[in-house]
Amino acid sequence: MIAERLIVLRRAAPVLIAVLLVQVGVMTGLPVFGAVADLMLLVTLAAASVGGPDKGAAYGFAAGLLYDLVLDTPFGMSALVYALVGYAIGVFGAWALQPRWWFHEVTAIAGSIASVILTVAVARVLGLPYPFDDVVRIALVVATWNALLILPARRLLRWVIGDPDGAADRFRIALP
Amino acid sequence: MALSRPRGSRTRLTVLVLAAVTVLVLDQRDLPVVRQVREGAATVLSPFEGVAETASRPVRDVWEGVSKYGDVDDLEAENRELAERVAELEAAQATETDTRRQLEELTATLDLPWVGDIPDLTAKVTSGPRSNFSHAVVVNKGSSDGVKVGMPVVTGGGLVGRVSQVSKKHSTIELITDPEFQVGVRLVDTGDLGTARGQGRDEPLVVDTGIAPDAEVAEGSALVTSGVDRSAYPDGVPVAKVSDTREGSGGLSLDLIAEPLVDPYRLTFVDILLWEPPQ
Repeated sequence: MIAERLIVLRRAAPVLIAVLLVQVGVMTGLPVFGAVADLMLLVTLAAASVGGPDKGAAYGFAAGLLYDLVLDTPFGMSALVYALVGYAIGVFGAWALQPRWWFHEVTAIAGSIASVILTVAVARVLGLPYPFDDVVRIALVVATWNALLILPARRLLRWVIGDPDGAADRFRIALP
Repeated sequence: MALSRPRGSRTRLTVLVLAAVTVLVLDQRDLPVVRQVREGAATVLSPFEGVAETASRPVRDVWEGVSKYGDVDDLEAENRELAERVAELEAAQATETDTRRQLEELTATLDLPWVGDIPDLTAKVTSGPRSNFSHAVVVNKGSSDGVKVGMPVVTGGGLVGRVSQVSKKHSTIELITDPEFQVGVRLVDTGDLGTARGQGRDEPLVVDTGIAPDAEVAEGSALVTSGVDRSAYPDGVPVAKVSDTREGSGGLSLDLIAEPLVDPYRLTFVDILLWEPPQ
């Protein structure tokens, strides 16, 4: 079990760092209506979709914390939001016995919208006046990118988590 | 074994949420360790980030071209406007030389630090905001160039923000629009002092003042940094102009709504003032 987890960790760490570099080095230069894609959230949603609530929360926390390192927003805010969203999407995904492709699209869109709303809400709790006016614009852009990329991201996360054939997905079994 | 194990999952989620909240609290208390971790990460990641950015440059350029293709009408109108502006500027150029000479004399007399002899460093913006809720840009000058946290960042138009993080070759600039940004300002017309706070992208600044709520403040009045004792900014740096007023909280004072003089999201170059507040 420990050996399996080490293998997963050896895959997960470079993938998360590579995704972070693509996010800050590439995606920030591709704004649509002033908003950019959120690949760290995409990884969280894909992990939740492939591995369930545990993986969703863990990958969300790790991806968020890594992202927080390069942001100027409160440190830990992305980790908190992504962990909660990853868990919720994992629980939501567990309801479907044999999810079709459109189900993953729906969960990606729902997770993206939830993440943007939750981020603004957490910032408000911290006393930061993040404008609610921007939520719709940002949520639309993030949800569109994530809907486009969720299927390849799921493939990547299946490999990372150690379920390349998607057996866990089909038979709803727990992963190490 | 089922995929969802509610009790164990909830325990793990609780642990992760508590960990995230702990980190948030540490950050809110402004502990140096958090800043050091972020600076360390920036130093480690910046070379790789530079490679990713350079490799993706053609894609980004194409994207920029495509995303601005729909703005052709706007560009034509802007072009006409600029041509008229060039004509005006050519006419004004004749008088500018004399005005500049007078300004230099005045500056020498009054020793205004904004226009005066504060050394500055021109830096190129290498990365825009890194997330949808970030209000910071990254520039290509760092501690090896003498940049330090807290230094003011300006353009010819006025205040852009302040250096919030420094690695060896890069610095992060907290923009004037950041909801956490605040700067002491002075109303040029009356000398009243206040604190300007960012409200997010494309949003005006809100300035808390001690001005009586029934006082009149002219629209377009200029705000400059106050430069009061131990201020984080030198005196007289242009910040914003008043666009509206509203009653402050409690109804005892007036809040000013002010448009920043610089759009910090459309900059290619900025000047870092190598200036530190007096201890």
